[in-house]
Amino acid sequence: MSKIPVKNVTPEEKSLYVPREKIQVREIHGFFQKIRSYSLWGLMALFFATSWLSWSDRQAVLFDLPARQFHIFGITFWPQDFFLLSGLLIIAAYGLFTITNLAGRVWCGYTCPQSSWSFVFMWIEEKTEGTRNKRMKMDSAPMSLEKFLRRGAKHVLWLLLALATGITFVGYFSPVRELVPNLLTFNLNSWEAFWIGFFALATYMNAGWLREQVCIHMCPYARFQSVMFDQDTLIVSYDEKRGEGEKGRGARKKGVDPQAEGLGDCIDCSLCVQVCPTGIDIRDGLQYQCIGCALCIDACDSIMDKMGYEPGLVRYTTEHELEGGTTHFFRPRLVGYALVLGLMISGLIYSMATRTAFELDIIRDRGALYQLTPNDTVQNTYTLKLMNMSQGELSYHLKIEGLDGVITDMPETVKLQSNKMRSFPINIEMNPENLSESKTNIEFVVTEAATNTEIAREESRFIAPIN
Amino acid sequence: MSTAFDHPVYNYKVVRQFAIMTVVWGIVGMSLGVLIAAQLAWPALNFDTPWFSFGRLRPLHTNAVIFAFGGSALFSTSYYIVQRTCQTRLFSDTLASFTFWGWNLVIVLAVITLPMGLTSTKEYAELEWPIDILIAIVWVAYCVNFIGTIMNRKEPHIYVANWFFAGFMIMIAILHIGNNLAIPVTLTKSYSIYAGTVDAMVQWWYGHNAVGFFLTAGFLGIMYYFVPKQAERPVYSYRLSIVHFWALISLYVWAGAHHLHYSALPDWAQTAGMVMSLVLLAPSWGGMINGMMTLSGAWHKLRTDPILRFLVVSLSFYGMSTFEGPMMSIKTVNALSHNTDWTIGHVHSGALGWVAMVTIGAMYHLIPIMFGRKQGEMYSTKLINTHFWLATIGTVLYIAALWVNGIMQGLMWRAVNADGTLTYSFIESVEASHPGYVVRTIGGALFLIGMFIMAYNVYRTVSDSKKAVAAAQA
Amino acid sequence: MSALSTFWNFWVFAIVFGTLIACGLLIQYSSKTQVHNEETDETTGHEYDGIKELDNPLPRWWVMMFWATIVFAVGYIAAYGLGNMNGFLTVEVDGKQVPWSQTAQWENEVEQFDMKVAPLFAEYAATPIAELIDNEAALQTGQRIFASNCSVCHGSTAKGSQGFPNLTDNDWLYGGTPADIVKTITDGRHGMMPAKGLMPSMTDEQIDQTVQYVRSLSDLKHDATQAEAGAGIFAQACTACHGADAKGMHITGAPNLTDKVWLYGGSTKQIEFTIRHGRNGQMPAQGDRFSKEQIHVLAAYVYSLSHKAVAK
Repeated sequence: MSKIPVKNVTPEEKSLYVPREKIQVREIHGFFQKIRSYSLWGLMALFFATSWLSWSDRQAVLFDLPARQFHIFGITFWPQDFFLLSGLLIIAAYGLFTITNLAGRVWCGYTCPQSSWSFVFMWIEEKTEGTRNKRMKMDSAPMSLEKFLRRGAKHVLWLLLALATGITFVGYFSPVRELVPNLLTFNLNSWEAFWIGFFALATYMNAGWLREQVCIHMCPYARFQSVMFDQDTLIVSYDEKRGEGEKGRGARKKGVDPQAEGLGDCIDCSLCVQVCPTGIDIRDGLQYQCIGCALCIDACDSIMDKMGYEPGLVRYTTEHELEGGTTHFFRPRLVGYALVLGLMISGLIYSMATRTAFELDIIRDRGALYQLTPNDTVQNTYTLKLMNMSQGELSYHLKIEGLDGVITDMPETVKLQSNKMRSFPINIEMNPENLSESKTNIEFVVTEAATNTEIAREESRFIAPIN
Repeated sequence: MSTAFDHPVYNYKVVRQFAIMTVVWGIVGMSLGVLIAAQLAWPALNFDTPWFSFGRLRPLHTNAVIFAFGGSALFSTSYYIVQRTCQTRLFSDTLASFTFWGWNLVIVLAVITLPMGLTSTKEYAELEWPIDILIAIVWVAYCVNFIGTIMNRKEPHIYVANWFFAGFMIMIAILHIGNNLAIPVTLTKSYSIYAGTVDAMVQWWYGHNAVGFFLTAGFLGIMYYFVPKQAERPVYSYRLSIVHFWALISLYVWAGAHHLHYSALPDWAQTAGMVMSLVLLAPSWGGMINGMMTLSGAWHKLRTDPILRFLVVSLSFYGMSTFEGPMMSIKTVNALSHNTDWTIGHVHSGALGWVAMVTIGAMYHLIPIMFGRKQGEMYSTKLINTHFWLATIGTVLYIAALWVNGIMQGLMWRAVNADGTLTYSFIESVEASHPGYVVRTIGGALFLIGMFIMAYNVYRTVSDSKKAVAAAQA
Repeated sequence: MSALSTFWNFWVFAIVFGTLIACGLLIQYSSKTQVHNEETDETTGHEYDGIKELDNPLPRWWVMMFWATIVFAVGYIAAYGLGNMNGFLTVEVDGKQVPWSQTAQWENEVEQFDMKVAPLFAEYAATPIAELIDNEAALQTGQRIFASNCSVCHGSTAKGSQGFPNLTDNDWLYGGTPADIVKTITDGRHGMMPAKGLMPSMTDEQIDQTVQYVRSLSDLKHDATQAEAGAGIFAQACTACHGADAKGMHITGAPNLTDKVWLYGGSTKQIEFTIRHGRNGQMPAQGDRFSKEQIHVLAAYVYSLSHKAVAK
């Protein structure tokens, strides 16, 4: 009697958290990588350098939260200007829609801070721990003095850069030229210290450890961009028709014609996979992980060049083109986006250009609509609030329009220092016989004394009992 | 040809009815929203009548979009999903029909009583006691019908979407009854049985869970069916769905206290509410990850399938607002954001971005099936695309405007001069908010136009299907 | 805040930590069990209406984040307290470190703020009020305090309205010296005009006569015969407070009736009402709300309104 074969069905006990497999990116040189290094290094440098710029005698870009004043070079924004910020946000959203519809996730690949910092962190990794192969070897090697030193150096450099990032970020809110000495002399206030620590830690974690996981799992913009794609969007794609022969792709053998063997142009060297910062194989088609950095294009082109093939097996192309059709660049959607974007940008520029660095608010007294005086006149009370948002001291002329025969204690001229505000109450007195209606619309007009140009006109009412 | 008649065993009538009402009430609720948004920018739009005043229409707007639009969507999809995933007909057709007519009666009564100024003054629970009793009866009928169907199932297991639906249903029954306990004085007036801080706490226990269970757990149920269906991919992780389901429902009930930071509520209750709100981040993101990862392998479909676009964008907004929410519940952030437009922006990033978009995606998938076509086969895909762009752009305008308004208000209200006096009066912050209110109205209007396009698309789909059926019979 | 009873205190701890521990167990448990079916390879083997389920493991960063929020929650509770337990976080109130509470935080913020503005006000307080009115900056500060706290009754320009005195006309109920103004602000004032003065038996006719007499005092239109009759009644019922010359008395706050300045109106109707029903005016005390220095600056502003052209 033969034995019944027994199969061991005890499930294997294993941890079911998926540990992230670290993606060791291979360094590659090429056209797109060059653009990327300029833009990513450049943007990071811009972030660091801008905080140290000065404009007249203050920091050029400073968001002074306690004073509620936001200085950007020669302009100071007050909370009342915040609608410009929503304009800017909406323009940024449309800009993202437009560029993504045109050429995929350009933002992710070339400009996003997450890409930028990860890129520089990877550069540090390459300098301290060596190339991809060396790093992979080191990962599996037991701890040694060299491994310890190289790894230690990497983390120290990472932490320093992260700390610098934190300091710079906080430096946009608390003058950086005071912040750094305060940090060195341990004189930070607790909020500054907290936020520097917070941003340093976040930078270190995001750029050093989390990297592509942020893009894959957390970032909402990654998805927003993906829904902007259509069949005419330029996306980093693998030309399957060219790469795969009847028998697919494969390594070349000496003296054999690959075409006769039924192989396509792809030699399956996997270089495109090794350089990918999100660890995908572009040859599997469009995937949500792809950040459009085009490193696989550089990698593949370098191989095609060595093989003596045409470049562009992996390239920026559209679905229509891959299917053998043509790309419609001037499609209604893209043109529509571009138009709306153009309109909004001009709108913002226009409102910036015509923005007067002055604000006038008129607040009528709420307690009493009017007062009757012993002289049988009617008196209304207003609080005027004048804000000089410009960079210098200015004088303003005040005037009331819409009433004849007005008696007022409103000063004719008010002088205000830069970025200061004054509010004061005034009375307007009228003989009711000169009024025809119980509610008269009036206007407060402010002209700048030096140039005699009108810079503000605010409407209000004069109320009187008319029988 | 027609998938609808492949399963004559299912009760599709009630699904169809609620699906149509979803579109109808969506338009009603959002029109009211656009009107009251416009009133904030141009107050004269209340036409000097009490019935059109902001204070009366705002509750009607919230009731109409949450309970009429969202509620109809939940009834429709849950009845559909529970039958399909349990492979059985609804437990009772009579109860199904009762829930449809009962629920719509509730909404009609809301449309009548709220503009008349009849209100119990509890946010999202303004309806007076006779209507509350009707809601409770309809809701219990719904629970019985749904859970009865699950008990009759022909599948050994219960699908994850049904866990979420069942959880939301039971919890809403408890919340609704708990919060609305009141002593009636007349037919149209009652007083809450709770007093002072306890009343506030019960109200926000209810209020935040209207969001947490009605608008989140229920809609996660929708997501768990329609995302894998539309993408034709398996659900990413069964394990993740277990973890995030249990964590989500056990943590959400705590979160209400974060509406009462720095109030008469005892410090420890505020603290407990706040930490639970923060712990809620991971379970919420669990749902987002599970939905997103389900789409892996179907990502290329985004280039052509606008229904999938709706679903993906809804998940993105879900992820964003469930990140924003825990942040805003931190006391320090709340001190800036409380009572500002930021809160309203946050709610709408969830309401427009998540709830409405996932509903719209599900409806575009479902309605063709209801009228004898294949899934997603609407009269015009181009119009779905147009709707998608209008909805996305509208939401972006809305959120950007209110987010900025909120920060500005927070900054202005708390600004003090060196001598300790307030820098701005309240009216100045209102004046500064005006541009934001205009942009938000435009954003809301774009979203509403999208809904009208949807209604037209649905109308054509239905009438074409009827013609096709008539032709086939002839 | 009243403390929770032992049971409720225990209950609060039990449910808060119960929930957090349950979350932890849930993560831990889900990392141990294996659901997916050998035969269907990666899926759980269930299929619902064509939907299959994979059983992918939980992303590790997500699990880490979950743990991190739980740890944060425990830390936050330790810092801020729960139930009857105080957290380790303290704030300084009255020079003492007390456990954090929102009340303590508020008191601390008020103290901090007072300390911040104290030097500014101390500088102003060193100058006597009569001289401080020449300090523009001080007056602007005073004006802002006035606008936030006084203008509701007295109006933004301090011109008053019915029942609320005009502060710009140099006509004072309780005296207009700097010291008087400081006292009015600090302790408040209570002005009481009893109905019918000291003569409760005043008849309707006598009231009318008194009204005519009062109007005659400031040359308003009046009936001379009635006014003459009213003079006697006035002497009996009113002079105790308003004085024989009707010029009022700062000590009682009785207004001068001869200067055409009317707190409640000078029409026949209003004066009749005043006499018939009396008047009751209340200036609330501000001593608890402001520091002495702040009141000093505020008083200077009020003083300046009638002693110099308003600073603009």
